[in-house]
This record gives sequence, C-alpha cells and structure tokens, in this order.
Amino acid sequence: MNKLILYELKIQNSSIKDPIFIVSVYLSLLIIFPLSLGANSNLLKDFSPAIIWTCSLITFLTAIEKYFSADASEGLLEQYLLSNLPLSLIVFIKVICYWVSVGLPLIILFPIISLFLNLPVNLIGIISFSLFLGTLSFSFIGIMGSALVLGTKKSNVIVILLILPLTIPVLIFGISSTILSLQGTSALSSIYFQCMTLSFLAAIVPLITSKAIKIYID
Amino acid sequence: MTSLITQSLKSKNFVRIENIEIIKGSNRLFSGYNYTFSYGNLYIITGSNGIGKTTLLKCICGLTEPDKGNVFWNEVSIKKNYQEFYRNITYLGHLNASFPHLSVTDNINFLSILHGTKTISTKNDNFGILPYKKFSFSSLSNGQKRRVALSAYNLSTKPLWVIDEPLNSVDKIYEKIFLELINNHVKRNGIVIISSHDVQQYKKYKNCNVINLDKLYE
Repeated sequence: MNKLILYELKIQNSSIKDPIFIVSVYLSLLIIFPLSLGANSNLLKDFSPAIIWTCSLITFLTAIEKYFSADASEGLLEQYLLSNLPLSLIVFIKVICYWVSVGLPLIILFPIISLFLNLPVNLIGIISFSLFLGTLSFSFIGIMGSALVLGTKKSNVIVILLILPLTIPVLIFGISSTILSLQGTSALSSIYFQCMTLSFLAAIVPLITSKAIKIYID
Repeated sequence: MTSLITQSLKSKNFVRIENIEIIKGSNRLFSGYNYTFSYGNLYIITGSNGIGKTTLLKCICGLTEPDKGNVFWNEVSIKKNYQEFYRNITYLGHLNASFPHLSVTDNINFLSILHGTKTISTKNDNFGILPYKKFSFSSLSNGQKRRVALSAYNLSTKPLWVIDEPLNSVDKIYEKIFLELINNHVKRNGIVIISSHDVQQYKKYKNCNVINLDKLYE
C-alpha cells in the first residue's frame, strides 16, 4: 500500500495538477488583494480570513475539475474496481495524495502569505492548522464531486456548481476559527467543528465516490 | 514460482451466466441468455458491431450489472461478494489502462501493485517492451501501447482472463506470442474469454469455443 501511495503521487504530479501550477495560481490570487485594497494595513487584517479561505477554495476548484477524466478515458477505473484492494480504500489514498500535491504547498507557503496580509506571527500555527483541516475537507468534497459528474457533458461547469454548496459548512467553520483567533479568543470550538466535518467527510466520501465510479462503469 | 501458479489454478473454476437480460438504451442486447464458461477452455466472442460483445464481457466480469439474471462463479452468485470475485480476474478493455504521462515501467508497476501480481523483468518480457521502459506512455505507437497493456497477462496468476479485442494493431510476431500465452493459460486450467472479429487465428487451438452473437437466436 505504501508503494501505491508513491505511484499515486507520481501520477498526480505527472498530470496538470502540478504543485508549481497550483502554487502560482494561489499566489497570484493572493497578491491581487493587497494591491487592490491599498496600503491600509488594518483593512487588510480584517479582510484576511475571507481572503485566505476564498483563495484556497478557488485554487482547489481550478485543480479539481476533471479529476477522474484521465482515469476514465484510459480505462483505469475498471482496473481500480477489479484490483485486490477495496475501491473505497483506493479513493481514500487518492484523496490523501491529492491533498499532498495541492493542499500541502498552500500550508507550507502560509507563513509567507501571512506576511503579505499583515497577520500576527503568533497566530500562524493555529490558522495553518485550521487551513489544513479545511483544505483536506475540500479535497474530499472535490473528489466526490468529480466522481459524481463522470460521464456528463460540460462536467467542468457542473462539478463547480455541485461542489460549491457542499463547501459552505467547511468554509463557515474555517473562517470563524480564523476570525476568532484574530480577535484573540480561543478558536478551539470552531476547530472542533472543522474536525467533525472532516471526519464525517472521510467516512462517507470514499463510499459515495466508489458507488459513483461503479455506476459510471456500468 | 511456476508451481505456485499451477497450484493456484488447480481448482476447477467456471463462470456461469444464467437468464441474462441486458437493455442498453432502447436496445435489448440479450434476453434469457445462458452460458457456462469452464476451466481449460478458450472462448471467442464474435459478432457484428453493436451486438453486445463488450457488454457481455463486462457482464461476465461483474462490471455491468445485468437487468435480469445472475452471474455465478463456482456456483456462488457474484452479487454476494464482488470483491472476492474480482480477485480472480485480469481484465483489459479496448482501452489500454495506462496513464499517458507516466513511463512504461511506472505504468506496469502501478497495475501490478493494484492487482498484487509480479512485476516485469527480463525473464518475462515476452512482448519486448523493456527496450523502451523509460519512454512515457503517450510517446509510444498504438501497437506498442497495446503490447504494454497485454504484458499484464504475462504477469497475471489469476484464473479468469477477459480481454476485449486484444490484438488491435499488434504485429504478427507478437500476435503469435500472445496466442501462445493464452494457450498456455488454457492448458493450466485457466479460462480465457476474448472478443474478436478475427476468429480464424484462434480456431487452430483445441478447446476453442466460438460464440457468434449474430447467430444467438437462430
């Protein structure tokens, strides 16, 4: 299974979902905000939770479209289904690898980004952690969405319309934890809620995704 | 290693399809169709375009669920435990089941990890693919791609082989090697089910059964 994770990462990085591409989309989105809001550093600080979360959501959306299309057009989904491992486990591995190539670069870059946005240094840890929970949840939702639209026409539009409403709970708790920590109060309650949504998604997404893939193959 | 393969294939397996009815769109492809595919036999499914060759193959593998009827693996309905049944199959559709941007060896290793089979070495390189193992899959010609995909059968130790149009754009030399390979598998009590337009090349082997779907109801 370790080897499978290794190859899955290779596959992710060989396609367009290249970490460098993801990071540059994220950074260029983020740089627009300080430029457009002017030199008012307090305004920037107040807006920063919204900026961070919207930018990471958009970055995930640009990367997710047609996640399964390569596997579907090359006939690999059948091979996943007929493999020795349960399909839901393969989906789980795919989500984790997807997060490693898309979410992890964002978390690593976060200390630099917090400089752009005039965030206090002592809050970097807690906000990165909440961003970690949030981006992992986005990965689960995104992969489920791209499996559900397999075989439909204009899937790249439908997948975004399908995913966006589902990301709202993740977004609400993520933003509230960021706001709470900026106000100097404990953000633990929101972080617990984020953990809850993440564990809920981790439980149901592999099952729904594998069912969707089975229906597509049928 | 060879003794291990023969041991795993010693059991007298068979697949039985019973009262199959498959409807695709408004087209009724099969109705009340029965057949038993038993060990040590080669089955060639032939017929005109759109008659349902691929659908029948997918139905035998449990990838397509029939609208009515059942598929049995050694007298047990496959619906009871798909995962258990899937472990017995090596399936190749008309697509090559490889990632275009990965190298040839990476593709082969990925599939061998998925299916828990051996990996390729100079000893079992019947299809002559090691010379371009470092090439990315998309840079190969169609025939070479098909040979890479077929090499999965060289490594497979599973009893049931299902192949859709195996010899599309493959050279005469490798055709011979492939025919030898399936003949060996039949001799060690495996089941080989192939869909093809060209029946003649298989007919010279004994235990070859031709199923002409055009003449199903005559």
